[in-house]
Amino acid sequence: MSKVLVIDDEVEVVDFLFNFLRRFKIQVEKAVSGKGALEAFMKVKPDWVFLDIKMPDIDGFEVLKAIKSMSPEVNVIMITGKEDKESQDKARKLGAFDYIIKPLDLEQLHKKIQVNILDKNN
Amino acid sequence: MNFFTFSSIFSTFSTFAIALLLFVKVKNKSPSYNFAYTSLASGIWTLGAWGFSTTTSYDTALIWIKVAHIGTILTPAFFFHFVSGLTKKYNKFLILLNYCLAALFVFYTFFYKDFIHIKYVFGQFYFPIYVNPASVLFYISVYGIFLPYAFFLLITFFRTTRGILRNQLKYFIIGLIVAWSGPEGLFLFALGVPIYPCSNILIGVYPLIFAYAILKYHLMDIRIFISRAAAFLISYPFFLGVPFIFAYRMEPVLFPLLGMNWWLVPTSLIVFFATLAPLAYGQIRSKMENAFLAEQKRYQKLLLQAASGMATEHDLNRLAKLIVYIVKKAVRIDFAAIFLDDKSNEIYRLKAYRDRGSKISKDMVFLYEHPLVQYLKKQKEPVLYEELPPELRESLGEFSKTSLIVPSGIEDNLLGFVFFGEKLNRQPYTNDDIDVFKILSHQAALAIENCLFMEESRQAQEKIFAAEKLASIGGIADGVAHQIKNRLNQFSVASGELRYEIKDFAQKHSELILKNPDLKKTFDYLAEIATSFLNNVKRTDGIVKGILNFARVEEKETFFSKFSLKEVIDVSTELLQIKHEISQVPLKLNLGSSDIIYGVKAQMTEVVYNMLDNAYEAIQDKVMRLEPEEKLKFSPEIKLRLLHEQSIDVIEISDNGIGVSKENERKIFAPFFTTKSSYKSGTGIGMYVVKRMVEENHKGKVWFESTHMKGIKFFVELPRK
Repeated sequence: MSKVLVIDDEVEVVDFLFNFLRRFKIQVEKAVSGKGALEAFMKVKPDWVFLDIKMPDIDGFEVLKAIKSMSPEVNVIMITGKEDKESQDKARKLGAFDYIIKPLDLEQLHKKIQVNILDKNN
Repeated sequence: MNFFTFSSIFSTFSTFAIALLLFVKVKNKSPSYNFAYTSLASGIWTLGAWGFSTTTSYDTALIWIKVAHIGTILTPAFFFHFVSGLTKKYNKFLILLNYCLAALFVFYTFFYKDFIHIKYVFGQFYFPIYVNPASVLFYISVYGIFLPYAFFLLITFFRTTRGILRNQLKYFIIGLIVAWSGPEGLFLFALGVPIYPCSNILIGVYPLIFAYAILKYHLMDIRIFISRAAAFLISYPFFLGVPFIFAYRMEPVLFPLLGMNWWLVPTSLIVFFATLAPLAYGQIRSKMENAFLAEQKRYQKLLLQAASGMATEHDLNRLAKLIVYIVKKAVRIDFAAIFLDDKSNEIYRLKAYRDRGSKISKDMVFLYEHPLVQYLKKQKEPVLYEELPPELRESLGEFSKTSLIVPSGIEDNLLGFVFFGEKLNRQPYTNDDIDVFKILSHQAALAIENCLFMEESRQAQEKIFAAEKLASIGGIADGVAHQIKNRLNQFSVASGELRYEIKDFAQKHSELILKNPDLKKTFDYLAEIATSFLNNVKRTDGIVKGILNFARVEEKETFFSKFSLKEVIDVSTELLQIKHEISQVPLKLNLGSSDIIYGVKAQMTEVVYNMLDNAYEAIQDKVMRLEPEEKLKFSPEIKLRLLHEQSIDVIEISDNGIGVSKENERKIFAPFFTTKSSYKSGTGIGMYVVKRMVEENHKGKVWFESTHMKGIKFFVELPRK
């Protein structure tokens, strides 16, 4: 079973995503700061990470860099309000799997999860 | 008196004098103290030589020669001890061996009859002759081995030194070579080479070189010393010698002519030449110095030229680079680095650096509290590395190879300092150099001050720009958009989750729902609400994107084009509606036959938006002050009219708002001026932006007509290309 770590500084968003992902029998862990994310990452060792960019303590790009340097095989999906091309390119260069722009459409996310996570698990 | 006696007397005085000076001046236990003993010992030789050269009695001469010989033996021992200390090559065994040998030979001198032979020479005086193998052994061991070794140490040490110490050592070693060639010359005679022992005079010459060089010219290059001494030797003896020779030669001629007054002719010649000599000396000196110091004069001239050019540089970074470049290239040194005051961080920051390849950290700084900074603040003058207190030298870190530090400041304000490396030709920095650097540093300080002033005004300008940006649509949009997006995301995720929750529940409890139509109705309705939320999120997101896109275009677009004023007005009113949360802006348009104008579209949008915003707020301000019954009668109105004239377009925007009072008329375009009772935005930058965009960027004109409490009419005139 896949493990997903959800990182966003908005607590409610993280909680909703937590409940949402649990529907699909995915094991979910939450973090609401960059620092907390790295701690949780080392503890949980997830297969997938949903990662916000703008966070008050550590920038999402930094978190991405740290995660990729620790475990390059982990897939990271950026979920962010930053629309500009530079941020998207940067994320891809740093090894992000996907880049989803907020506001987040759960149905679209569901499709992505279906293809990339759920179908592969079965 | 023969020459040997003269040289002995002269040398006795000079060596004793320098020994005395050193004993008085120098601290005990320092290497120089041993040099005082060395001088004293050599004085004993010359004193003895004075004694034995003035007697014709064999016995008296023998006693004096023995006294003199003590000097000969002790001098190299003390000298070796001194050099060991100076060069820090302290070998206790060798020093002790030297003293033991000295003691042995002193013993020999007095108790071993055949050690010294004396011989009457040149029909003038007795002189010691080395025929005994023991005395030859003495000569070879001390003067043949230890003395050259001491010189080897000295020269090795000299090569490791820099700057002023190197300069001083140079004199010192030259002095020593002169001094030691004295006894070596005497030995030649003592060993049987038939030349007159005239080198004795050299023993007494070295203190003169020291005294002259160290005391008076301790900073001056030896080339200056040599050229001045040579100029002196050429000019004075020649000019003053001529009258004497003249007098000597011409007496037989002059005496018959002038009788007892013949001396008047040579005397007047003396007077004439004595006035001429200093002139000649000055001429010769400057000629010789120019020849000797061509290189130095070249870069000094270059530096002074560059210094005057610095004032025209207004960019601090470029100035710093320029200074470093000039200094390194012109003076030809290892490296040059400039540190400048960074007031906000209370540090001196490395601004520019040039060297030959080696790397240093670019973010090197000196805190205000750093002892070097404190020291330079107090000194205010260029300081040589060797003049720095030892603890400061150690604190220089990566710049320990610095030879000279030149502070630059105005009054008590230390603006920065420059580190100079060593010259590539390893010449030390001279007094003349330092004088030039002082001028350079003063010029640099003025130029830096100038730059800082420019920088400050530039920063003030930037602050206004930043405020402008904040007040502009783009500025607001960027900041607010992110916040809005976060909230939208919350809505989106929550409503999405709500839909999934309903769907899941319906699937799990399908029977329950089938049985209960009311439940189904409620669930359907909830799902509908969630969908409506989602649709609204998408629409709002669209609006935000629209504003952001506009803001981005505005940032980048600076090109002139023909465009529709109507489009600009539409965008502006839409933004106004969002800003003031109103459904409609009370705007009446009269665009005439064509709404096409010429300019930078994004900037003109900003102009129109700001003017409409200003008009709307002026109206709101007026409404707030109206009595309730007046409010009912009042109908707000903004009019926009476009007029095409021969080569210009004029946009008129008028409102029936509060207008502007007489005393505020002149301030209306000033930045940060606002009369609005902090009604909505109130940054006070809007009309300033309008004026700048129109007048500076579009070369147009903005003016207005106003009656207080009745309204205002703005005119924007744009040239049509």
